[in-house]
Amino acid sequence: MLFTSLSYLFFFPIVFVVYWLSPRAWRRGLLLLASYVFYMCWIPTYGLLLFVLTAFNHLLGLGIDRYRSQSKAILTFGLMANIGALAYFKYTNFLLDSLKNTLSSAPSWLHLPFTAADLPVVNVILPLGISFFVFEFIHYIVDVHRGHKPIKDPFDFALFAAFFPSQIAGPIKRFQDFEKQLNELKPLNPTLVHNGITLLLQGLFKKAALSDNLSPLVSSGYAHVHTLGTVDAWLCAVGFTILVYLDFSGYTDMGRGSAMLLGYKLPDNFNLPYFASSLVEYWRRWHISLSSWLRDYLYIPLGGNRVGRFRKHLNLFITMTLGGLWHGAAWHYLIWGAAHGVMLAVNQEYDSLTKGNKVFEKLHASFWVKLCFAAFTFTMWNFSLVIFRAANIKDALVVYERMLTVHESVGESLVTTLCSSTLPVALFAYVIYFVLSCGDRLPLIKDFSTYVSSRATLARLCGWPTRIAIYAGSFLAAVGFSPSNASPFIYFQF
Amino acid sequence: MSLAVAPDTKQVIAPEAPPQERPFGIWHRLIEAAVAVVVVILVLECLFAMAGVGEQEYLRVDKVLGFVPMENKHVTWRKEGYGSIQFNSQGRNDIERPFAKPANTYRIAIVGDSFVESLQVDRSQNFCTLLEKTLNAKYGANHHIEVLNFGCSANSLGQFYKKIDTQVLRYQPDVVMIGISVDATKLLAPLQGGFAFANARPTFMLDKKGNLVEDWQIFHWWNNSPEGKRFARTEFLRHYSHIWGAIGTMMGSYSSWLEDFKAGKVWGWGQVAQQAVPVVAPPVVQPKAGSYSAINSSCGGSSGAGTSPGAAPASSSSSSSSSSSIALPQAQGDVAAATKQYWPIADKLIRAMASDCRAHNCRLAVAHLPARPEIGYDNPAETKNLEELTSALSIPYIDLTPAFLSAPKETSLIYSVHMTPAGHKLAYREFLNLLESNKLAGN
Repeated sequence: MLFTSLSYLFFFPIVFVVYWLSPRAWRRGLLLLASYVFYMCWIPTYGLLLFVLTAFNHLLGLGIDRYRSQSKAILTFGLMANIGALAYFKYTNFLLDSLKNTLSSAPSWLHLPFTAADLPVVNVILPLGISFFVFEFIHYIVDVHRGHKPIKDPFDFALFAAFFPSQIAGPIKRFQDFEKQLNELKPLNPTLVHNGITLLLQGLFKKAALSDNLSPLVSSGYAHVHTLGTVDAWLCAVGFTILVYLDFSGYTDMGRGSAMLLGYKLPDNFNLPYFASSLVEYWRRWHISLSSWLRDYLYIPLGGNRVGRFRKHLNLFITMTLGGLWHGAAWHYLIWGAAHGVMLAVNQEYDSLTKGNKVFEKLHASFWVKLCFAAFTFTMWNFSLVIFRAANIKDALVVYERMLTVHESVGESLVTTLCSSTLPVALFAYVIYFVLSCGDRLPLIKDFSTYVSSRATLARLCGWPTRIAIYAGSFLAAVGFSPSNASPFIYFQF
Repeated sequence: MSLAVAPDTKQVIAPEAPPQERPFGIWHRLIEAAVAVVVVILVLECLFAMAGVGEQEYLRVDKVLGFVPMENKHVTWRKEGYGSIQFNSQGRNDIERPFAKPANTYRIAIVGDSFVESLQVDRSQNFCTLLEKTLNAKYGANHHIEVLNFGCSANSLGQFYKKIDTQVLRYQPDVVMIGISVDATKLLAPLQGGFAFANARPTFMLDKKGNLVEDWQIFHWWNNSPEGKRFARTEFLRHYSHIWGAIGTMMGSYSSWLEDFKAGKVWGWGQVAQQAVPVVAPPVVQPKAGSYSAINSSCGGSSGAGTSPGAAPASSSSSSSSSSSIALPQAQGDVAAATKQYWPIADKLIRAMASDCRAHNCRLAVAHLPARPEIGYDNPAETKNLEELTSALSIPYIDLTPAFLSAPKETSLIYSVHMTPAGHKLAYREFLNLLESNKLAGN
């Protein structure tokens, strides 16, 4: 069920009302039921997979806690089972296809005992959200192994695993935070409702009005890379960079908003990443729950930065390459991750070289240098996303070539398509809203205390009639600007 | 270490302090609500107007033709292709043209449905404009040539006939060309597609002597239904409010979702178990003889001769007892069967149009608009009938389908149903050939 679908528009209010009207003791059960309904409305049998993995990991957690002397063996078994499940669903098709391609192109003089045709035909459908909930399971058993207390109540654990606002595309939760919230269920209050609805509507606008309008433009560009002119290629590349943020952060906002309306706080996943002035900073602001997971459960166990210079960079490279592979089983994701590993290493080297140098420190503190660095970071991220988005490496190279050399568009330019959509006006409306609502977090405006205090005063003056009118208007704007055909969330495929 | 968690910054756009109840009374709240609603409506209307949102509802009820585009309405069309169209004061996708033909002017009027209306492309790209430009470039030395677009979505052959009679001939055209889509004959079936606004139009049937009779019963039935009354009440909003238009689009999505929901398509577990049930239009029965208005009568009046406004069609028993009309069975879905049943009416209508044109010293030409056999949007029986009829009446005729099928495959000529700019280019060249070869181009 998509958060932007009409099904969710009916599903969530029912869950919300029933949840808050029911006795406190029933709420977790109801939420668990709702989460399974949410998950199973796509492919019902995959609900069973979620259930089996949940039960398995719950038992593992209890086992690790109970048999501390053998906890490492249990953990290893648990890791193998979880990664095995993820690998089967996510990488079987990729491995078989790669093997088939290799066998097809193998020279005949090798006289191989089997050919590509002998390989089994398997078409594994990726269960929605498996990458996210398997990472949550791994975090759980590793943390229990590290000494944290497991979740005793199987229903609480099942709710942690299946919680529908974060089930399909994160944020990747930490069980300690979630369990704490389970035990301290907040009562419904106006602030919770206001914040929840605001996040829901903000996410809806990002997804329906902005991302869904950008998506066909980017898709059409990447589907016909040979027809792209230089302007189109840049439009396509920058379009996808903006699209992936709007799409993913929009989903996260809607998930966080839904959770908030049910009294839960999910971790934030984005902190204005496109304002980062270096790639290191960028990764602290982008998909924060995944970055921190990779840090805690991959980078640090590999040795982190408490090793030699070369080893540190190698650890980072391995972490980022595997992070790339996590996004999908394809070579271009692997290359994208590896490229980020290299770029982060270069960034870290630069930081260590300039650290302590007063001239550089003064330069880095300057607003204009920060702006240039932010533009450079954005450009690097933008270039890296070309290989991430392109259907294959060949197409990515064509787009790079079109971006860097002068070409005429073949057929209708993407600029025309862009101008004929509702996107320019929707984007304008969003920018106004963004400056008004998050202005105090923007580099230029944050120092204007008058602005911040006047915004707070304005917010205090708004009573419920104004709020309801704004909610209704925002909802209508999101739906009004959306195109007739919605695109699926990008991060669903990961 | 690069992979560090950022401090949990507050991304929620929330006031710094939790909203508190103001110590104001009910009047304060009411005034605040009113002001807030007005401000939100104004802001949304401005944004939607800038983006062309909510402009896709543009038809209104018309007592002569059933429905027509709203006069002076601006339409931004994004359902298929893209068009930003300003309808003229007569509700046509055309520039302003005086009724009286200016001296030394040659007029070609093109009548048709949405293919001719061409909302999917910019006006400068549609075949009418291209035709006018080319004809003036070629033959404009002797006289000015005008190509008038009389297309309107969902119009049937019956409406073409009424439009020629009541509107087109007022412009004193030298040539009238009708563009017939492949489902034109099927659309003569009353209530084809269900009880909806697009079917609230005059329908035509044949009496026992084979004369055309005009029926307004469905028009009145729909317009007096709660849906029709609501439609009439909201005409101002439909014309001027972008928000209303956006809500209309939203309700359309809701209806589709509801259909999917009923069919079990929304839930994964319902897909296998249930099959979508085809929607069948309510049965239509033959109205009594007295309900028809003769073809040349003033049928655009309030109720049509003998029809009782608001009355649903008579029961099937009463219809079967009708003595003066041929009972034509209801055709739904099956194009070939519908063509067989309704072609006699189409035949009569085209003959009547030709006769009307002759009476006004202009010539009729017929174009059969492109079919898409690859998706089953085709009607060979209708094509054959049209060829035979136009040949018998010596009406210049062209079928666009062969040209569209033989065009290079890499050029997209059709979006999903309607023509792309390239399709319009091809259509205009074909029309030009037809007009030139029949000395109808002002040549």
